[in-house]
Amino acid sequence: MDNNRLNIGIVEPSQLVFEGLSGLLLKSGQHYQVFKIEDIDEILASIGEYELNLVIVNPVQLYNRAKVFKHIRKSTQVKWAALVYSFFDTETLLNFDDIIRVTDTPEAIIDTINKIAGTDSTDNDNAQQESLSERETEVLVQLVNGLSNKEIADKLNISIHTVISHRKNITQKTGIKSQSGLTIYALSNKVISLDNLA
Amino acid sequence: MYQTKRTFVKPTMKVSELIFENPSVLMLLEHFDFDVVVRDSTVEQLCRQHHVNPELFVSFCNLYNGFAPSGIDTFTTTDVSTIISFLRNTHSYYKTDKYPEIKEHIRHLFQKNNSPEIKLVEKFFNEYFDEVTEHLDYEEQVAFPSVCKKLAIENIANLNTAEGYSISVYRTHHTDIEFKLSELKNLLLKHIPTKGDNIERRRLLTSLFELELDLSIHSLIEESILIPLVKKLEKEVKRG
Repeated sequence: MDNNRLNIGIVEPSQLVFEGLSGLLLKSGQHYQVFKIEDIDEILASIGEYELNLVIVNPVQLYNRAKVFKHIRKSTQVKWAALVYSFFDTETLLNFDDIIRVTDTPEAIIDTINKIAGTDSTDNDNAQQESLSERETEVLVQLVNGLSNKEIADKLNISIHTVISHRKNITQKTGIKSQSGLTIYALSNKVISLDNLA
Repeated sequence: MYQTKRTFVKPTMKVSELIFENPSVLMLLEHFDFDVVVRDSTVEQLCRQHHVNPELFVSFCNLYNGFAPSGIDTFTTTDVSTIISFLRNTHSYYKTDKYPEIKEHIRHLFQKNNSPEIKLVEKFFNEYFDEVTEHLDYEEQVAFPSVCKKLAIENIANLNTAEGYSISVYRTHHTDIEFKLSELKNLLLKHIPTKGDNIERRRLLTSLFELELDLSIHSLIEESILIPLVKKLEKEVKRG
């Protein structure tokens, strides 16, 4: 594949919004190719047919179809952006790598797209699995015990950067970020027992 | 929260019909201080009766029906007063109605499932509630008075502590509040094992979903309507 070229699929029910967005992308001076995808069911076929790198989806399409969408996400390598012009709950939006809002400036939209497409995919692929890796579990236990990033790094003999990346994955997989939330998670999943809690 | 036909609301529509289609609009009436019995009034009639700009009601109602914020260009300083009193009512709904209701649901849940996890959920929620209260107080004591001062609106609370507010503070608070809520939903739905508590848990979750919808609209009104509107009006005030 040509490294500079980006094949973008758009799943957007409104013809007006689709035309607007695709016009903007085509005029951007970037090497983009834009394809219209009718609905969620067409995504898989389109990804193969047009060799898509990025799919922009109006989350309205996920209504009642979240499972199908998660399934598609798992079975492909492409990146996903949400095209948002009404509000959606955080959980729906967590399905995407990033968000494009209709109120964004053209520059911001291009930035978002390049950011998603340019990032390394290995991080996200791992995060697709729901259960935590062994290392993530170790970090989780230390977090629950109230250790700071620095303390965890020292204790597990890894860099702070790695700790932060593990934390990010933990949040992505579990949907939980706060220490008290993680404590409940760890207890429920028997990662720790009550006796472990100080 | 509810599945709606996503009708785009217009001032000539009957309020009762809007409610039958989307029961969340009841919340809107309450926040606007309107009577629940709306008879056959249209949006326009009901609003005139309460001295509220119908376009403002329409704009908020459309948020509940899932549309993006609109109408800011036509709103005036009078509307800012209405928005602020609307938001104050929302706050009192959280503090005196919704949060106590959720606490009650958690208490019932614990009666059925007295596991340490549920006990910690209670603690989690109490901490979360403190955080929310702090944010609501910030709005009432800093943000709203500051807005009133800028636009020379008589401030109901009449506080002199107004030192300005910042949109980034708003956003961070809102994001934190919304994320904590989604953590709680995740824990209850995906992780904490049940112990014959399905009914109590469903009640709690339903309540949390209702709160989430209301909070998300509350933030939308502040970030996407109130703040841009105040900026616009401020410029006009300066121009004289």
